[in-house]
Amino acid sequence: MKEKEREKERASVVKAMLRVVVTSPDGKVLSDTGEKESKSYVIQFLEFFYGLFYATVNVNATATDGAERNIYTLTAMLNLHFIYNYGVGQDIGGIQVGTGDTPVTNDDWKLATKIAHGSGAQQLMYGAMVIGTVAIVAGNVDLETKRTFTNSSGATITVKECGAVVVLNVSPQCHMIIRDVLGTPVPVPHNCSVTIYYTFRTTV
Amino acid sequence: MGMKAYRRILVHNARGELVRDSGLVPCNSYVRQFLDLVEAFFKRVDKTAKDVDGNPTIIYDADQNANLNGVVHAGVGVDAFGIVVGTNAGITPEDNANYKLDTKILHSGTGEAGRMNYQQGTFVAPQVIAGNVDFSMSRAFINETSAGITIKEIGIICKNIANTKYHLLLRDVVSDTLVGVGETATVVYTLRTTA
Repeated sequence: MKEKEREKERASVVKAMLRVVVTSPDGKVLSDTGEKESKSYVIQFLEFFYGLFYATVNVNATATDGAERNIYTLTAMLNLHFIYNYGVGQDIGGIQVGTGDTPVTNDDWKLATKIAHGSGAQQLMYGAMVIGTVAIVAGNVDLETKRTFTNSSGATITVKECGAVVVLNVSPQCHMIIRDVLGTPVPVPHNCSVTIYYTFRTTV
Repeated sequence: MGMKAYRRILVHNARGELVRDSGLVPCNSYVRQFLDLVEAFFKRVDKTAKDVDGNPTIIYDADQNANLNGVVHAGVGVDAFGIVVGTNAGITPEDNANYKLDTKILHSGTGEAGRMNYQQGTFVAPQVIAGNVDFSMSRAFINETSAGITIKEIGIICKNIANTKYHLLLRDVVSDTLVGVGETATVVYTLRTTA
């Protein structure tokens, strides 16, 4: 079989499925993108797994401040690595949203313009990360993660990008592992909420 | 685009000449335990998953050092984890719920029948290549027996060193790959993301 034919075969993929849902204060769904495949793991994702699998060297990766910082440290406890389950108001890690729309590249290391937590102008209230449990659903293995952001700023905020950031809590050092620019910007009116779902999925 | 996995099997003869090459082939099978491990990292709590013996055992031990969990880097002669190969004698199909190779080929450094000499795994750090981010791992298996051995399945097993537990992360049934007497099969896994 020629290489091009092989490339057409179905490949096993750890997909990240992205869904963006906007709801009103009374829970009415104002918009829902439906589940779409995220386009963009960035290089830091594989750099972490390189460290984990190789288990021989500390591994640096570009952090969200642009500096090269450890994403994997041999002798740091496991539960200090790859932290994603951040709580209310903690915009340092977990799912983040932004207003930038610069195209995604393999080596992106931060959102173009992150929306900070808060109720001021151009800020959103970050809810707690919700992380599901791995389950086989309709022939897939799914792990759902999500976060809700509430707009208390007094004006509509338009979300144009989102991503996932993990933290090595030995400073801390923050690394983006996924970044997506939304195909269509998503307006979030005052007092409304937007929930970003990233569902990690494998399928044999 | 997700994180894809590709596999390639190269066979060299005793003179180091390439005699067979599967080319880069998309893998079919991350298995459930891979996401079990990811879930554990996200939640930062101890996590059990089905191990290669079929028992729920700890895959992520939160208060152990990072280099004692999820390890794939196996040394010479170690057939319990790392990249492994098998004969799939029971013809087990790929499935989300696979937790072991059907019939793993064991290590032998003395040419015991039906076994191969497992070499140390090698790792190439992620880099951007031709628009992709590639992270490659490979391992060589030498046939030092007096008969050919046919590889029909391959996989990746990680080790929880702190607790001596082994969990399958990927398994692929592959086209029959004959490794003749004195030949070496090298299995290469490439994990790939593309923005």
